[in-house]
Amino acid sequence: MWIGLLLVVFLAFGVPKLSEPIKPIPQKIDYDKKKALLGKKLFHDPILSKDGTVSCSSCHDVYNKCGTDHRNVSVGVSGRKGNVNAPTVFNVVFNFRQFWNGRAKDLKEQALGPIHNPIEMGMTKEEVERRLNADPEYRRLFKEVYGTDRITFDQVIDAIVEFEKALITPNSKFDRFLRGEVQLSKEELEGYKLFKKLGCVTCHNGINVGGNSFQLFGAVVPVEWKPSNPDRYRITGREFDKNRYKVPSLRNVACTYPYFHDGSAKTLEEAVRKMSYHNLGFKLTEEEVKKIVAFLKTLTGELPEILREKE
Amino acid sequence: MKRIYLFLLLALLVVVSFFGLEIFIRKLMSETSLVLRNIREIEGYEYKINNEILKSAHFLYYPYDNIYQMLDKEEELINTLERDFLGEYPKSLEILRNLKKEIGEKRSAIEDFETLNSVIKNSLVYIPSLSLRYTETAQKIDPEYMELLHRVESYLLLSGRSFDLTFLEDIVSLTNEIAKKEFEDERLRSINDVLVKHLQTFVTYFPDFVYKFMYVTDESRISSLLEDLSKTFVEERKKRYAVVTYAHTGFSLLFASVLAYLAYLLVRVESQRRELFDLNLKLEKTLVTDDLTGLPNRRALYGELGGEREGCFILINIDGFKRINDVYGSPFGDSLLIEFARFLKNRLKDLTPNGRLFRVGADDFGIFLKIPSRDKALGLARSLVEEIEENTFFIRGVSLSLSVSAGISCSPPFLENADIAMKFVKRRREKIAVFEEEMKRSLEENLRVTLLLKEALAENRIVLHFQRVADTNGGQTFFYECLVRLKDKENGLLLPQSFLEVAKESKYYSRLTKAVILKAVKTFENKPFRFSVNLSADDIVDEDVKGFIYELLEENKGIANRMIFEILESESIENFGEVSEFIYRVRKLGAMIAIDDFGSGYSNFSYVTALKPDILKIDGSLIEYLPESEDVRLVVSTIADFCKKAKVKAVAEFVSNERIFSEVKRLGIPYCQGFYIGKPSEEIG
Repeated sequence: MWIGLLLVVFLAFGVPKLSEPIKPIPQKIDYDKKKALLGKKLFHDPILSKDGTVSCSSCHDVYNKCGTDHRNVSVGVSGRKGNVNAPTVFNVVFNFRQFWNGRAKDLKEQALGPIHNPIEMGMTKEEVERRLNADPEYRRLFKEVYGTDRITFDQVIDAIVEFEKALITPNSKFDRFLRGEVQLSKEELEGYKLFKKLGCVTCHNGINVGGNSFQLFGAVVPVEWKPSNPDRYRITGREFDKNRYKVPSLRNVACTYPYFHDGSAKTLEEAVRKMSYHNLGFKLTEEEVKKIVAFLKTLTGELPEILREKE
Repeated sequence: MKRIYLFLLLALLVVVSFFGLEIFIRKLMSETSLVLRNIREIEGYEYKINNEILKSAHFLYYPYDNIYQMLDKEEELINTLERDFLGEYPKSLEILRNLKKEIGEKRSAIEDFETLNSVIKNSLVYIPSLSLRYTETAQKIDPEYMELLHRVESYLLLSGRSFDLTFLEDIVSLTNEIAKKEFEDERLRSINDVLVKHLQTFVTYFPDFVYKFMYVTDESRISSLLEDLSKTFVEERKKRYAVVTYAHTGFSLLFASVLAYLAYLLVRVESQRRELFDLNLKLEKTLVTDDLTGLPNRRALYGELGGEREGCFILINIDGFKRINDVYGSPFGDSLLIEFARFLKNRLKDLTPNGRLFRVGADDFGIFLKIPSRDKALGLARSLVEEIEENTFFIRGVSLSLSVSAGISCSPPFLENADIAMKFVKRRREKIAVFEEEMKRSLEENLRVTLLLKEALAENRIVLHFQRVADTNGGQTFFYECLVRLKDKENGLLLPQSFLEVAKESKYYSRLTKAVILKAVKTFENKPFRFSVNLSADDIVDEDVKGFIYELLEENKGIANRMIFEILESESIENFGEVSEFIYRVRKLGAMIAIDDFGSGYSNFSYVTALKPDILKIDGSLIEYLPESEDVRLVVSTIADFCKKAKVKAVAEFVSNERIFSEVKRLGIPYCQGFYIGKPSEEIG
């Protein structure tokens, strides 16, 4: 009887304290709206690429493709192909590192990458400044936001970063479930339970359901290593870092296909099967795959608020 | 003065530096506390991070977000310290950089650990669930295989939960045995394969997992660095602070000495001010004190009487002081004044407690009485005058009696009014006069007349009237007396009695005399008559007038013997020498002399004899009374007789009617003058 009573007390007061390994995305995030809107304009403007053909949004289509380009690997200036699948720009502010191998410690460092990369946008700092300063509209906008007459590269990056900060996708079905607002369907709930039981959650946890640690791709059943892999080995040269990547976020995973660093998995089912085989050691049943995919689809959130803003 | 400004500038500098240093020290202190707080905060994050690591190792699934957020915050704190605070503390900075490096290494160790952690945890979960799957799948359970599974599971649990590598060998050999197992069933074989892969994964990564765990949870390196950092920082700051402390003490001392010097300056300024004040007082006193007598001077009088409306002022003047000075010399005069002042002072003290004595001019002394009583002032003046005149002054062996006059005024302006009164004293030949408004008016009248005279001379408005002097018996003209008149602006005529006295006091008198003489000469130049002009003793004494007359007579011989100069008996007797010389000279030049108004003054016959005049005019005041008074008749007849005997032509003045005329005739006075004979007129004949 005493135990029963204790259980009641525990449930009454203890349940809210029990925490899930996945945290909901905050519904609001602080950002400088004027700056972010300027960043949004820059983000979509091919003026930032060497031949004026690509903008940030070329590989990170925030309106239709959940911040990705749905290509295996991205295409940069002069139609040059990269070797990496473009990760989404959604919810990147919650990532502990940027890029597949985490070489950028924050968004600011990240933004420099594609702009300078010769096969992505191929621009120099000076060229960016020259082009934007020659544009009266940008001069006006930057003056409004930064109060200076000359646009600097730092300001350009700052504005883009501010825009990216605003790209959060709250209120996914799963987040609402975590907040106790809705129920998951039976299939979705079983998928979530499998996700935990099978051990996916040991790596895919936190706000971004990933994006907060480096893990081995193929920990149990190794994957073939290629020198072109954008892994941690590129940075450290340690044997341990071969095929070691930043865990990708599973937020909006249903629409960020194709999957993996090389876009080798075209569908979510394929990606789930491949991951379970290499990292868990065995093949999932069709039933299990279906359930997990059903769960993963609940991670699709709302279009970021800033995208609904007029420029 | 320059020195003081320099000092003030210096003082300002010291004060500014002092407060500047204060502000600097305060800033330093707040910086210090900020740095120490940051260090403590880093320490706090270390504990929290380690706590997170423990949790992530313990819970089979646990979000890693917090660890990295904390690491970021910790890094931010270190960067802040490096960037903003420790730039000037080289040793601390070095330790901080070591710390930063250490934390960076820890961070990548954590990243590695969390990779290993995920792998190990997954295998730890998987192996038991795979053995469960085996029992679910197998038709017939192999007890030997089951035992292997249980054994390896228990080692795994023991190792995984104790981070102990001791049993790894056992796990390896058990894994090898499990791997050797053969299965008919495809599904069982697959399960065993996965199981073996997981066991191999565990064996592969577990040692690193344990090492990384031990490494990242070992607080000793970072906490000793942190401790070292705060200790070194405090020491370095103290060293730096020591300089500042000395500077602060130095500036405090300077500040205090500036204050002390300022106090000293203030005291000195005050004492100098006092000295200056005393000096000023002394100067003021000198300014209002008469050097000679030590009495307050005229300035003092004005100072003291400035606002005074009530009281009486007595002005005392020594009669003929100028003469005393001339006779005995001014040092004697000075001694007299000193003695006189002393006497006055003593007497005044005895007579009234309300009087204050001043020396207001050379021989002018003033007494101001605070009592506004005319009678008391007059009484006091009388007593003083009396006592002075009764006193004998002994000056340098000379005994001297003084005669003094006093003018009194009981209305302001006291000195000026008393001075006016004094003028009247002299004029009236009295001892004392009290100021009256009338006096002032009279003086103003004098001024008016003087101005009138001046203008008349300038504008030729001097007019002569002529009165005939006739032979008593035949009626023939003896001569015409020229009488002066002033024509004012409205053509009214002023008689001499209204301006002559005033004219005598003015500088225009001699000009008036000369103008009259010239006019007379011009009038009678071409007329067959004798004519007379009046001269006063002042004219005769005046060299200018005398010279003018002598020259005129010499150049106009034809007129000279028709000219008669009338001289007053009373005046001529006082200046006998000069008058007799004048008479001698003009007579020699042909002119005649008449003594005017004989019988009114001294009527000194011997004097007349000595002057030897040609004509003697018997004073009108006697003639007037001829019909009435026997005494007068006696006097006049005596004069007439004297004239006959002395061969002087007698003239009776003021013969205004027939009765007088007949008396004159009876007494045998040969000539007469008066309204009965002819009134003064502009016309001749």
